[in-house]
Amino acid sequence: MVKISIKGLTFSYRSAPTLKGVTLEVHEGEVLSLVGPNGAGKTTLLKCINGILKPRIGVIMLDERNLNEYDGRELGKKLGYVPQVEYSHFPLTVFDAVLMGRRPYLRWWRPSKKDLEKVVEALKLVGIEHIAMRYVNELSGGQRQAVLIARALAQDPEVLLLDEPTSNLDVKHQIMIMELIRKLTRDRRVTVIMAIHDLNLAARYSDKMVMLKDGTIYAQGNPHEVLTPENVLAVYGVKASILIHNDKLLVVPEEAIA
Amino acid sequence: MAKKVWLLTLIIAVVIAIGIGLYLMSIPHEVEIAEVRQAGLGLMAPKSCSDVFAVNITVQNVTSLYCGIVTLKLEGPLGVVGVENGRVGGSEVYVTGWQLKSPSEMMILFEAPRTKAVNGSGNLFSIILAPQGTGQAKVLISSISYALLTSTNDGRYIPNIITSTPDINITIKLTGVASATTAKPGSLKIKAISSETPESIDPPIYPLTYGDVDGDLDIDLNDLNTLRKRLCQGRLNLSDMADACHDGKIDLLDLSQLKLILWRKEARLTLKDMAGRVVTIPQPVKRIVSCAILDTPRTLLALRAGNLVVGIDFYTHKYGLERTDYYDVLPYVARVYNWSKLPVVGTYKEPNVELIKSLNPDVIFAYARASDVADALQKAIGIPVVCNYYYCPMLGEKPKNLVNFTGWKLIATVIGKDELAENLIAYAREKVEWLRNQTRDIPLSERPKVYYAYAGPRGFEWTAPHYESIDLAGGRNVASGCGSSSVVQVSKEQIIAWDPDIILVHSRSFTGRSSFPARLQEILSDPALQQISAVKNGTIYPLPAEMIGWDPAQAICEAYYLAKLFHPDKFKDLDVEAECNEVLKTIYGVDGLWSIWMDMVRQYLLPEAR
Amino acid sequence: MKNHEEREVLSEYKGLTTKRKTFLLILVLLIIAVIFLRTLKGGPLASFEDSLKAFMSYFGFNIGQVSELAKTAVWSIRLPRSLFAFMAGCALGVAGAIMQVVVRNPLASPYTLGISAAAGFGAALAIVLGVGVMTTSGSLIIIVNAFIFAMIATIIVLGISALRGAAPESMILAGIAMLYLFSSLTSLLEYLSETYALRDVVFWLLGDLGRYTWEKIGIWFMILLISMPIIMAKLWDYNLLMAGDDVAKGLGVNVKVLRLSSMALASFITAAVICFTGVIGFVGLVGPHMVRMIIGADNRYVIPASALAGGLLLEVADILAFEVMPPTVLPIGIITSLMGVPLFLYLLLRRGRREVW
Repeated sequence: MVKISIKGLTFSYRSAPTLKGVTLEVHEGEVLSLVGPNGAGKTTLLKCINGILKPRIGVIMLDERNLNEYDGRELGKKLGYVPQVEYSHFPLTVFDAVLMGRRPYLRWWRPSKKDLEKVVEALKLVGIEHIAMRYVNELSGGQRQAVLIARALAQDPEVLLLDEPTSNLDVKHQIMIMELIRKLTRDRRVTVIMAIHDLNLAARYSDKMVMLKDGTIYAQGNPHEVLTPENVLAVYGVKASILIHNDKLLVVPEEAIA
Repeated sequence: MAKKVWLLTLIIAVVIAIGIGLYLMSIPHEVEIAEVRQAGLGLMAPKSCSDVFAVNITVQNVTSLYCGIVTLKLEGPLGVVGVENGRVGGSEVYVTGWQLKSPSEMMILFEAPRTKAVNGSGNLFSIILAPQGTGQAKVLISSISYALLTSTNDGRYIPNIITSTPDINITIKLTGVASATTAKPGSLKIKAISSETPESIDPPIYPLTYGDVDGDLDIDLNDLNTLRKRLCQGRLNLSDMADACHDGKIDLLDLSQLKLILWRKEARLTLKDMAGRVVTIPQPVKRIVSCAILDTPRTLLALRAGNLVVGIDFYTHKYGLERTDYYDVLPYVARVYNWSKLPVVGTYKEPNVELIKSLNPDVIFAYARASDVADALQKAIGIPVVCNYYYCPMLGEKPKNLVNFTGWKLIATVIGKDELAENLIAYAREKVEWLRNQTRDIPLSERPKVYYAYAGPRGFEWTAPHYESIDLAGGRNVASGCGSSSVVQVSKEQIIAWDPDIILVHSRSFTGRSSFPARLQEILSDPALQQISAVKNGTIYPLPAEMIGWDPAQAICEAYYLAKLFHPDKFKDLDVEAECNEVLKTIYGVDGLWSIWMDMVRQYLLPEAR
Repeated sequence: MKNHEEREVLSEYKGLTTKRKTFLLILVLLIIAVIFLRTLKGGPLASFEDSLKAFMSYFGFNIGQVSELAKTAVWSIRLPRSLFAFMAGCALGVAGAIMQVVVRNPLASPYTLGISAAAGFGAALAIVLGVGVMTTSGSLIIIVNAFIFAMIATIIVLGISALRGAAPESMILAGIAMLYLFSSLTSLLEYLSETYALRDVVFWLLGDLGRYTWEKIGIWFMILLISMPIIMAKLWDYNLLMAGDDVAKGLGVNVKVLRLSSMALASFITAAVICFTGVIGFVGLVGPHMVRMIIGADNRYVIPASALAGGLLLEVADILAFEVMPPTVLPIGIITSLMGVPLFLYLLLRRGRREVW
């Protein structure tokens, strides 16, 4: 079933539109990756889907209901958002940081036993339960990113929106997170939309790919359809070869064309 | 035979006559005098001599000659016996000092007496010399400088100085040696003029007036004599305050100016005001603008100079003349001079420059704490601005002392009312001394404990640890151990623990802002204070404080007022109202000024003190 | 299925929570002890025994002769002053903590929106114009005016900020603009006024805990009682706000409303304090930081602890003001800075490696 459908989405921060007429559909349990150069509008699109930004033109439907009709709490239970950067200068423990994700479920200021258990579960899924009592501002970049993912998971979301989830992680953790995402979509039918720079990871782990250029969709479809040398050249300005190795698609950049 | 006797007698007579004639011829007869002149200056001496003789220094057709210094060079075997006064145009010229620097160099200081410059021709002075060998001797005038007086329209004088090196000399033939005692080289003689008695002078009383040669913070004959000595010696490194003309040099101009100041004939007076600014004020002062705060107009009124004021500042106009709810002597005294009709010249921070200029004052008084405003004003219109304050930190005075008179002295000196000020100061001191003598010996145990509650919305817990009036009136300030700042906050508990017998509430008004009845009510209705003796007995009195140190007259009255409150038995016969009225009348010239205060407070005082 | 690791994590977390709750409890006990001691021993008028008797007698326990002086000392002077100081510090501490979180800026203090400057101007206006008589009713005008202007500044700042989407930066900048505006207006008033009024204005601004009355304590108590549940309901959301506007929005927080209403409440509390006490600095700025340095930044504990710590700090400062140079009482603003700065630096240096913010 169609989990999220977007029609004609146009958004401007100031006068020039950042997103123009974006139309796409995501099905339940699908992994959609958003690719495109810097400034193409990936983060903006994610924020629009999350309800953080309100576009003037266009419609976003979640579970066949208009996004505007949901209240904050409901959205918080359905959509989990992992931002690209975060202010983590305050001395908050990892546990507390992840616990924040339970806010849509909290009745009063005292978390229930279930809330605590969900937090521990999220920590385990991401593999950071051993640093649960450490303070967030003392962690490495990769660990912090893991915390953000865990927080989103603690929300028990139906949709996960991730903005560059692997940019600070080492190779092992990159694979781990991607495998985790795959597992979540398989086991729990979680829908995933992720903006990602690494084309190879995107190709390998997503069911559908959308390539954005200057705020419009340049190409969409499955990764093999979208990642062609012509598309890569047109959108990124890079001459690249596309190879297949062990059933995995590889993009090998050759040369940057000015 | 008879013929021969007659012939013999004739011959003897002739021989005797010749003998007498020869004898007579050997007696020195009138010596021949020579005179040498050049440009109005002259030297007169005998052509030759063998005994003590005089050399005269003469002048021709001088006008307004006031004083001068002559440097003489002596060549040849001469010794100096002394110097004598001269006479020019019928007036005596006095030699007030001379120094024999070396056997051959001499400096003589001559002056006209008091402030009467001399005119005409005559002898400035004579030097008495004694030949100490035979031969040629020469006397030269190597330099002469003298001061002339120019008079102004108001009968005052400005000194001018003229210096020249005339190179005029006279030769004397010494034919004998005299045995007179001569002065040793290096000797210095200073003489006062007989007409210069302390009683005859009328010097300024402000301590920081320029002309204070000996640095004792006043101007008197000692300064004059010290300056004479220094001029003769050529030792001119004196302090800055010795420079009476304030021109950076010590010379005859300063001597002239100092003399003029001593007899108050100076056309200009330079002094250092309370902000440390050097100001020169033309004299006499006939038009005054007051752009300072209230103590300056009050002082002007006390010095009976109210009619000289042509413009007053905004605060004096608004608060000084029109308030009736707030006790101050100013409105009542100012009425005498019709001050409410005077133009308002702005505030001490923002004076109205054009208006002040149009009033053409001789001097403007400003507030010492806004001395930059004073500087700007003086620069803008070129009229001297004198900064006044109620105490002089440069002289080590402290605020809130019972009476600081320096403000009075400053204004008195500027406007030439020094003698009046001195009398008022002496009177005020006398009043203070009288009270002090009455209360000096009262033992601590008989002094009532007094708490002084300071003014304003800050509250009851603010007090002044040092308040001289309380001590002078025979009371004991309970807060006297609390540090050295003028106002401190103490804890309420401590006030209750001190348990004062009397509470003084600082308040000058009986309606409106900070009114006494309101503050009294606050104290009486505060449950915490009910155990204090003063509250239980109702001995809470208003105190006009605030202007202590600013207005010596009201400070004295306040002390007397308190004395009666503190010791009603001891001062049973003291009619405070009459005494204070008298004080205020002596100082301000208006009757019944303290009665106004008493009428306002009478209902709050116990019967004995009314 | 809970396994060993999970149970370990949970018990560790529980331990942390317990530690924080203990900290709060310690603060409460300290405060009670300090106030109690001060009430019984805080002055020359009544000894410990007398004060104790006077205290107990109010509740009907008569253990001997009670002197009037002791009763006055305890019930009219020491106890009200202690409570007054404590509550003022509480309010400033909590207001400071809220403001710091809400604008995400460690330099924020209860005076961030230019409130102290505006209140000062309001007080100055009342003093200089000589409105009313300078008695209790006269000072009422000063109090009311100070409060009104503080709230005017708050409304202006929040209004401007709301138009700009309630971003924290706009709030801070508008607040600074208010600070300069009202400071200059106050300077203008000082310039135009006569010396005596000027002196009074300066002293009002300096901060003074001496104008305590039981009525004022009652007013504050009611304000605190009303504010408490409102704040408590939002404690979690403050944590989210610290993580970023986007994240908070994503988790269901109405960021704009939360920010504006929290600032309004914190400003209101602050204005209610400074209109009675004048400007007392340092407590609201540094109190919350000190708390964070000890128990971390979880606002569920930080905000209540800031209230308690602020109250304790001001209470101790007030005691010092009396005890440093008896019987003179030193101005409270000086004491809070002199006392607080070394304490703050010590904590800063001790926990060197952990960032404060």
